[in-house]
Amino acid sequence: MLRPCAEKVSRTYGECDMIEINHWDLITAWVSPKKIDLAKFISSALQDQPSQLYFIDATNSFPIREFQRETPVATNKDVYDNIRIITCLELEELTILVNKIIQTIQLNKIERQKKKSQNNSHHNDIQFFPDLKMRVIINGLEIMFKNTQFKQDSETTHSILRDILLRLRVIANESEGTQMQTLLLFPKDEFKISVPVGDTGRYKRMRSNHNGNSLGEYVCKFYADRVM
Amino acid sequence: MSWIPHLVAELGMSFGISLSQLIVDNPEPLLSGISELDESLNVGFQSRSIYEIYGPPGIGKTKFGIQLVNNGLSRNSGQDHVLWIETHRCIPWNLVKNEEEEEEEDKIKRFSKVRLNKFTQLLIFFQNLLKEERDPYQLIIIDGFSQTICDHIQILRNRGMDEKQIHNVKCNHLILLFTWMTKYTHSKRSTIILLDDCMNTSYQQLDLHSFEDDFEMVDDGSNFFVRSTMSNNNNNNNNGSTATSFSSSPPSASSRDRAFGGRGRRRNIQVLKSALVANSAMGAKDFKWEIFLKCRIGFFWNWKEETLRADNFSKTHRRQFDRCRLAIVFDPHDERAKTLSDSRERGRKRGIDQVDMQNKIIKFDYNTEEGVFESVNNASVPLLLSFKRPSAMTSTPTMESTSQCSSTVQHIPDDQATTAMEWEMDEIVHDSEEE
Repeated sequence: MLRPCAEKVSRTYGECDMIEINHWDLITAWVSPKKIDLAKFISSALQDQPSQLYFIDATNSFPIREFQRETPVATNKDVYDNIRIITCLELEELTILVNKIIQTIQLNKIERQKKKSQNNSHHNDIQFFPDLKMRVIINGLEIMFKNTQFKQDSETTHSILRDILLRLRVIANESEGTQMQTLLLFPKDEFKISVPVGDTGRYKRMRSNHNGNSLGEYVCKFYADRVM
Repeated sequence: MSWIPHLVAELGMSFGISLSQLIVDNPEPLLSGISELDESLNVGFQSRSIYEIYGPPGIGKTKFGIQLVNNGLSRNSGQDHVLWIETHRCIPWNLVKNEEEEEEEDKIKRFSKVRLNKFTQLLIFFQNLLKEERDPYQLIIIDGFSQTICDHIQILRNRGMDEKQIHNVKCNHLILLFTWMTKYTHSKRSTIILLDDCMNTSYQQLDLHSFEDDFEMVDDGSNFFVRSTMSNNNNNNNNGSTATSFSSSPPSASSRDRAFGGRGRRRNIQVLKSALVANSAMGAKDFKWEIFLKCRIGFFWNWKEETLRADNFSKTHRRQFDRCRLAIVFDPHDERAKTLSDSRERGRKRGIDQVDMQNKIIKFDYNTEEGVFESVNNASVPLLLSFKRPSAMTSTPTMESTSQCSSTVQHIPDDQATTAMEWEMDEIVHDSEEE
């Protein structure tokens, strides 16, 4: 059942301090994470092998300094190799990237099947053919959306956005050989009402207004399984 | 086990750049020459990033830009190319360092300048620059960028657009321009630095009465930070507002009363911000383009401590006061995160006495002998961070907790005015280029 964004936020309220990758859903939205928290998350996400992380970014926001502190490069070269930083400023580019990620997953599946058949699959699958853990972090979705809006009409832009988010969900649901999780980062300002009211810590319920929802609110409301 | 990248690369599907490669490929950061500032920026200005430096007239933004040009031309064994974009003022060539003639000639070859004083010129310029196959510029400085945007806004206003429209158009246009700049910085691994003016918020013409309703002083002893007390901060970050209490007591329910002069009367507070924000198109959506900025650095004046001691304060003539400069560095991205966690914390526990402010304050000054800006480490001129204000003094640079460096000026009612206050009323008007 779809829950309003504000309720989802309040549900997860207070859990941000503990970043546990295993508890994350297929598509998670994270509102204004601290750099150090993001670095910790990325570090923990890549502890299990084999894993690959795609950091798709509209701005130069990968927390390199914090990550280097968290994960020293000298002892974690593989982790650094398994993170790919990709600059993306438009939804069309993001579509291409998502397609490439899908192709990578398909390749992994084929490779895995090949190996299985070579080994007659009498080995334990989990031990010899561990699932590929793929994480995708997208920062600046609202910028990509806006930039696409400059070129395309609103309907087309929305359609591209929906297509991307649905594809990500579909891939994440296909669990054979791959575990994929997507994290969407949004600035706090995207959420006009999802902040505590007064000193009580309670959250206002989302109400429609004539300005419509921001992109962050829209995505969190209809596509994210969890909002932090 | 890093077989996935190999698999992907083998099949010709590699995209993006690995973090290890990114770290290796990134050019060394550009040093400013102010060691503490470099430290706070993670060893200098990083490539693939856009920075904004802003401050009042005469504080030395252009000089600082020229210092960066000199450092940039000397970086990477003298291989870097630097571009200076003039908007409304020519680059003061006399400030460019004179080195050995041969070395100077080489530098001049790698230094370019162009005059662009319209928004559309800037936009087209960056679009074309990306396509050019010439040597990329590792450093681009735009002097007076905010003035170009202000002029653009004025053109929109003359077309008869209303306030809301102008704000939306400004945000869209800045997103567009910053997108092209970001494409350039990422593809060429360069750094763009914007040198902007600052403006006080009373300039804006929107009805932002709420903007100045809920500022309160952060009691971290610095006297430099204010934060929004708007708990349902549903507007773009900034918009808190009123007078800040300068007492050392923690903010409390009564702070609002104090802010209103204790008698429900509102003081006139003006917040000094970047002119890129505090212009006539200021509004709630400014955050949409602000996230392109890696870091903001506000330059402000500060009094040296000895001139502010209470006994000196009343005796000393204004002209005898010594000033130094402060750079307030903050990361808008982490700032947002902090604000959010603060507000969550506030939800858990009523009232916050202290906030762990992570913004950095660097004291620096212009060395007239060397002709460079440098850190002020002289123990005899300590940084005024724990200074308790004399009751008569009511002006200090401050910083909004959310995203803006700012300076507040409180106008004291006439019946409370003192001699010492007379000079303080016009404090934000600085002489230009006094060095």
